[in-house]
Amino acid sequence: MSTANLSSQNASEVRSGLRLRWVRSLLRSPVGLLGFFLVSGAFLMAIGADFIAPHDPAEFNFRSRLEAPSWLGGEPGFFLGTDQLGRDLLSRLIHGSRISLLVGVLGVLISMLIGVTLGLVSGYVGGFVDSFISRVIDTFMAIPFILLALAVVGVVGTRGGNSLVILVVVLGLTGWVTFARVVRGEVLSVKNLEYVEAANALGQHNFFIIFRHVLPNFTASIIVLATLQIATVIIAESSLSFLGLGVQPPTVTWGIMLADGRDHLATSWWLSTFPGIAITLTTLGMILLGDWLRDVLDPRMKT
Amino acid sequence: MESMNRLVKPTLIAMLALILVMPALNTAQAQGKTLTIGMNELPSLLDPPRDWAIAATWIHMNMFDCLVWRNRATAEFEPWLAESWENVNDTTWRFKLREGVMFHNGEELNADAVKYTYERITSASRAEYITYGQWTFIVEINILSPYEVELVTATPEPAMLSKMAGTGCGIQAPVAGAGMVPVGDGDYTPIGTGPYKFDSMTQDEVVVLTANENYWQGKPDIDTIIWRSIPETSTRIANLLTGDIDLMVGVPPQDWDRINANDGTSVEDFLTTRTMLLSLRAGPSEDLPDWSGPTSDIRIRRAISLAIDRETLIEVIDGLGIPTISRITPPTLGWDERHYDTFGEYDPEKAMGLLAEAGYNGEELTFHSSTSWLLQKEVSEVLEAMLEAVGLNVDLQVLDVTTFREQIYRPNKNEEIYMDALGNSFFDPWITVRSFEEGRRFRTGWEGMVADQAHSLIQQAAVNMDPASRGAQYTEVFDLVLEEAIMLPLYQMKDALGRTDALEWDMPLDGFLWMGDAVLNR
Amino acid sequence: MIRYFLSRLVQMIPPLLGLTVILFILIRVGGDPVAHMVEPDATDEEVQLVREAYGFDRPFIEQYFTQFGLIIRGDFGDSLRFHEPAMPLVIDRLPATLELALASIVVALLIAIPAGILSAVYQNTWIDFLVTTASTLGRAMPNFWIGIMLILIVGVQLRWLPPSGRLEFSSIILPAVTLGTSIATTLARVLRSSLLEVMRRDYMTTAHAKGLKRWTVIIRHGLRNALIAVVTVFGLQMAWLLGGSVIIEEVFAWPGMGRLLLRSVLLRDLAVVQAGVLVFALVVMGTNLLVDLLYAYLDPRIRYS
Repeated sequence: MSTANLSSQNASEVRSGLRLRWVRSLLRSPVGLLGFFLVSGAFLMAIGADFIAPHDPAEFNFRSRLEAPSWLGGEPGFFLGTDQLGRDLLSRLIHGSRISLLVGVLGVLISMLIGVTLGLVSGYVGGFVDSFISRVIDTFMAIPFILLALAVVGVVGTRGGNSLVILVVVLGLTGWVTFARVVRGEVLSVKNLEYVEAANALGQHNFFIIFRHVLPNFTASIIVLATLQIATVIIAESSLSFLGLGVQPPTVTWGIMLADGRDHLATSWWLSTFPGIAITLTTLGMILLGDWLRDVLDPRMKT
Repeated sequence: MESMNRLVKPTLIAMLALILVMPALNTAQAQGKTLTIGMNELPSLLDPPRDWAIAATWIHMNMFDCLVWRNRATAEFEPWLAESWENVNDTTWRFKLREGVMFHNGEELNADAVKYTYERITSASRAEYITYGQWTFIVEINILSPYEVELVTATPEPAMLSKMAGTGCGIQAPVAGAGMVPVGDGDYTPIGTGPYKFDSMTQDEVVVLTANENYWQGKPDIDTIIWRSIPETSTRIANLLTGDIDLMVGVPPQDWDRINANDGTSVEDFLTTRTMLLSLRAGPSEDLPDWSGPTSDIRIRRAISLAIDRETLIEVIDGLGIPTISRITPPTLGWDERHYDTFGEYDPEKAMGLLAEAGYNGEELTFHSSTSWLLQKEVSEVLEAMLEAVGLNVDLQVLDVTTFREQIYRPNKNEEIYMDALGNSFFDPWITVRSFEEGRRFRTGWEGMVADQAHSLIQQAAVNMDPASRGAQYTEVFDLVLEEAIMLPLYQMKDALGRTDALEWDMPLDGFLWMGDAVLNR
Repeated sequence: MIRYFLSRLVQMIPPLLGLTVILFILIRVGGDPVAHMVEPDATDEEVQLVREAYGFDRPFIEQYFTQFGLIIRGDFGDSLRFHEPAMPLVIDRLPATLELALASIVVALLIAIPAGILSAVYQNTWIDFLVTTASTLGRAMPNFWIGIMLILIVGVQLRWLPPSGRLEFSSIILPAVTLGTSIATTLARVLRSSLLEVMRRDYMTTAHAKGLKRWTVIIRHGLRNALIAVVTVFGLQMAWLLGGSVIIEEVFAWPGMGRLLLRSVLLRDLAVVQAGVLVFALVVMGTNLLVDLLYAYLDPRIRYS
């Protein structure tokens, strides 16, 4: 829907109407509602970690190592049990949400920035630039994401405090292709629409046209894609931890907890099951929220 | 739309068919008694001097025999391919070969083979052989008679026998007419005299060995040994429980009960030759010329030493280690009761006093550790807490194995503290003190009178043919190292072996899987 | 049309060359292969000997072009680990990985087709919701975790299938299920939406009017059309499958390319990494081309020019 011709007052009315429509739609969609709760739950946990966590996540208790969750007969006070060094699993899980979500969100922001820019340029400028960028996209599409991340992390290394920054950048650099592809396609589909051509004829600057007329057409797809990508990035972080190349201690993430706990699955299942559930619920929330957003934002794609 | 049907159906059927008749399914169907060993990795080369990883050493020693044998229970040297030997003078050794020993290809073992084997490693063009540096001590190989060979060393070599029984020592059959096996030749076939013959190898999947019918000690009881690569520990344990593999090392403590409770399998722990240790930097070195960290002050190094509670560390590793403050562990020459099976001095108060005296003001100490060994990550986190408890400001950096090697070992960019476990499969002290030699101190930057003293002791010991005084010299080196707090050994590591009860085999002292005398009751 | 594909292949060459530069920089310049080839206490002289033996003492630019010369001739050079030409090593491992990928696709189809149909037919009911959630779970759980769980439950507890390896036929089931569930989600969703679209189309309504049973209609017309979309998704999922194989092969000790590449990256075995990544890229591109061809054949409206 184009609001270009409406007066500013009308525009704001439309916007608040939209907001209401969103809330109503969210309330009507059980899937969207579930997604919303899961995602906001995870973010609230990350923000309030210091207040919610019952213990210091780095505090050792050598007397109570590998305790089962308290409701399964483990030591009271450790709701989800303890790890190999007697640290409270629940507190680690709560604190771990921070880095996991941070890596997910920042990683996606970086890939979004690169991908959207390249996609826009490629689609809008066309010609040689387009075919060059398209081939780069094709090449990147042909190389498994994890392999690329592996090559970069494997070389740049996971050096203590920097490992987080490195990881975010790597995941960002390797995830941009999906954005670029989608955006390029969308640009191509709207490029020759009348109002864009009209703006062109009026002599408006290229970048202005892109931002004013082209970009708004597919913010919906980008947002939807972003929610799905966050899920992918969180899992990728965990997979790199599994291969021994993730963020390193003392930083704690769900991915590390899941990967480290895997050797205890048969004996102390809680170590990796709870982080696994946390990752699953959060990514599930992201995916469901993304689905719902697509339905609301982009009626064309509604199924 | 009919075209759709015509295409998709065959495509799907073709895909299913492909999967059903999957080719190349490795069916190493073994004859007779088969022992399957689960390994976390398999060697990339089956040529003894070219791969010295533990996995490689184990497989090599089943295919190749050496001149000398180290008794697996006592670590004493015993005749093996050499019936006897004689130390003619300080630098000349004569080995009399056992007659009638056959290589796997039917050729007879003789002095030519010995010459071929060691010339191959020591010729300068073999620098890319990883064990090259270990063998350069041999300067001359003389054939005295078909069964008598003489090895001449550059300097007196007290560790001669341990080297002749150590990594890469296996005698190879001279490949008729081929001369030396060139680098880059993937067609290399291992031909030794050992209890098992090479059968086949699928890289990173399996190595299959079969019994050597003509083994000079008699055909082994097991007909086939399959070494399977299963990198993931939990998967390997699953395979042990289901009977897909019969033997594995590296069973983590949490799985012992499961394996013992399982029908037909059990766990046994054993001492490795590895010592987990901290190494402290005392000064700059070539790769870090401008370094001047807090640990250049001996008082701060001593404070670190005093802050370590080995008793707690042993608890953290579930008792899988013996606390030690020296890298020389029994029965290796030079081990000392004062240094072994002791928690060492733990005194946080004194440590804090030393820090105050040194005027320590919260400067950051970088602590490099890695995920190479069982529970290493956890132990380093506990160590970090111990050091911080006395007021040190520690920045723990746990690296992946690859980065660790490229940052700490080549180039030597380790800063104040690094942690690793170092082994001594030779059971000779020379390798444990090598990093204190002048010219090899690139990871400690250790200088000064005491360092010089240590260096000269090492030099003397290296050519000292009298075991008693040589042992005392090595013990003294570690006294100096402890005094200056350059290296802080923590514990000698234990490992655990998961095995089928059908296997009759005693765990050797070195924990190496030589299966020549194993009996399988199946 | 053939010209179109040929030109697409040719255009692929510059980015692939760029890739060899990136990999070279990452692995040879960023990492040091020699660190993994000498003993820790080796002196500088000993290390220097090794560097010279492999030509690592040459300037990087020279090293790159030496290797590049080999690539042009399709040789790629020798693996540092195995001392064998890299390309044959990679090709040897390819069947195992492709087998796993194909088996995973079959598993994915077995899950996705019924799930997609059910959720389309019962759109916006609890069945739809359940299918969506369940299939999303497959994507939301890390592969290795599902894999280890399957090993513990199916392999150890129930003892139905071998926990790992590639020694018998049934060995492939667990890794294929693990990898398959992760793409089943996407397939099910694509199937669902294309089915819904098809069901809205006119001829479907006509079919209804003819009084054909609903299910027959769905299967006769809907599914056929929907499969076009599924075929497209395969092309996109191939890269995902191959990427997943890196982890799955590690968990299940499956001797494929994924494990080879993982080790090679970690030990800086450049020749194998170059060869492996190129083969991966070619497999994915080949699949895409095949899918495009199939697609053009299935849907006459599409023309390549």
